[in-house]
Amino acid sequence: MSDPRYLDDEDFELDLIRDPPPAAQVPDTLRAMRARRVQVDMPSGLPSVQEVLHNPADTAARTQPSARAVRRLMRIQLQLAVSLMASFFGLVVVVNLAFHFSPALAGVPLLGVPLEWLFPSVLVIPLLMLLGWFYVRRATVHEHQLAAELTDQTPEGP
Amino acid sequence: MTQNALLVLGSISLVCVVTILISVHGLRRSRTTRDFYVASRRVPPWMNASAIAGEYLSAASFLGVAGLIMAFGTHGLWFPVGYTAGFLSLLVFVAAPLRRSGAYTIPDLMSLRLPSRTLRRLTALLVVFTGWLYIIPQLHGAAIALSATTGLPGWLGPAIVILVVLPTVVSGGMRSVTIAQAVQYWFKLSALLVPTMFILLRVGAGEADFIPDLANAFETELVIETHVSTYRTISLVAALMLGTLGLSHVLVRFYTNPDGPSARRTTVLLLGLLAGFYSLPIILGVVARAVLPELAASASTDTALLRLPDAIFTGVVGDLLTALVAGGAFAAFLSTASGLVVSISGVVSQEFFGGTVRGFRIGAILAMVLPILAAYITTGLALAGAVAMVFTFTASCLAPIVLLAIWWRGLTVHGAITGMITGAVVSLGALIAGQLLELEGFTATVLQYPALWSVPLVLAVTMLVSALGAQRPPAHTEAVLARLHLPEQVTEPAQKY
Repeated sequence: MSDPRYLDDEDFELDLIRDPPPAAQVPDTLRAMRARRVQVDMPSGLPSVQEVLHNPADTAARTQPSARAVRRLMRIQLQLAVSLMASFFGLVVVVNLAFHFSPALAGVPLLGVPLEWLFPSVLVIPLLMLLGWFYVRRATVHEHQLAAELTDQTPEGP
Repeated sequence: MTQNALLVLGSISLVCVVTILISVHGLRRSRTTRDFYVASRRVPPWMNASAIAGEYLSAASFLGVAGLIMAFGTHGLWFPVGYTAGFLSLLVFVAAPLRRSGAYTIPDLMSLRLPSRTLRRLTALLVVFTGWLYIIPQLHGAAIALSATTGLPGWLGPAIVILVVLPTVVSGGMRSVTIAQAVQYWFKLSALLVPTMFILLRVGAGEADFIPDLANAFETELVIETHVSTYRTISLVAALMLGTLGLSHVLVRFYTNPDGPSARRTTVLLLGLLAGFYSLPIILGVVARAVLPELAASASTDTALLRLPDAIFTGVVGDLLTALVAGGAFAAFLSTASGLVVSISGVVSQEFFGGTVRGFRIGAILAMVLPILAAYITTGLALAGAVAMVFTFTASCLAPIVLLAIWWRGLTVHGAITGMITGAVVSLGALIAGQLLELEGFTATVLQYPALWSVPLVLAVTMLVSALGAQRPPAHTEAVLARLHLPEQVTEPAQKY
């Protein structure tokens, strides 16, 4: 990597932070521009909705997904999310009610630990990880399906 | 001063010095424009997950969970379940759409979806208020941890936290330093893992007369319960599951993911990191139940973890382990408090000082000073209980509106404002009434744990006002929702990650 054209990524620094050359070496034309240097602040206002939505990839050649496609995607993703969360929370409710009404069940020893203790400490958290993994798999499949349908519709450019 | 106290002080100072050094190092590194703008989009999921976990595991998780398990038994076990399940709901409802929206804070998300100055201000106020409420238990924890281990006066603990957090945040150092939070996670994990190993070895292979009766730990009712606990547990899990959706300092971190799918991967990794961490306070809490039953009655269960090593080991091993736990506890206070201060001062600066650095600094100072005052007024709440109240508050006033904003096109400005105000008033009112009124039995529990009824109430109010009110949803709703939900390969086909 001795070729100076290929800067090592870690050594890369923008010119902005280098010390400026002594004033005597700066040509007059540049010195005039320096005088008009503007200070850059953190944006004080918010970007407008139009600015946020503006997408450089939008060109006339691209078909944007129809409003119906977006609705359909949102609906299946929401169905997936709600059913996962509802079944998890439902399980929590059912298990707690069961322990409440049947102390015998709560006390069933498993590996020497009563079920009432084993369930929240050992069984639930792996279940959460499994649900998370399952959600990511399904949600990604839904998105790929939508993308595939769209590319089928889009005629290939020349 | 005893040897024990000196070791603890040494370990706490080490944590503080390392935190400051990493922040200063990060400050120097992020001087280049490239670091400032690009590094934030190149944080790999595992690093980002460690950082979120580092920020999330607060005093309540580090000291509080073991204390509650000790005092309340199985009820305490549901706290880690709820804290972890919060990230499952974050994953399925919020992670990818939030990242795609490009919103940096909850007020940003709200004003992208519903352009209204009033709604934006209201959201900002709620976010700042939540942050204040959340800092209070961190300062409490610092006071408890320091005085329990060294015998020094309690105010010194919060003073140390403030002296470390304020300079690093005001100098801007914490802003871009994901690595500092990530290191804190692994440090907190080791600070509990090492004592757990030692204690388990001792308990498992120790002298026969020493082994505490662990079976007894599952049976003994250490605190006599008077109220119905099934409702309490269910409502608690509901609050913790949804409360995470309203935590600004956690949501901010999703912005550093490159795209929606990596935001999801980060969250799945995070579930693993949290599960790994929470197994330790659970084990230690059960051991503490067997070894230190007298502590549960003394109402200072939050110090259980700090007293456990000395109760099991004598001499220098016990002292060293205590020092390690105390250092880890301070890492928890520092990382959560600095994450909160950064997010509060960011919002204060943007909303009320036009986004200037001066506003950020004023915000940071306000973010620490007000909770100190409050911390001296409110005392005596268990750490994990206090944090659960904050979760109940955000679950009631912010989470329902965030959910509807992402998933329901019918949401209007009026609906969102009504919902937020209803949620804030109802949940705060119930929590305060539950603490102050001398109620007994089921009524007290329903007021102290309102999430189970307040969240559906707020959802219903918001949807009814939106649907029946005169106002229409904003015209650009469809376009914004398409932006939140469409995958990157559709919206940005040219970009390669």
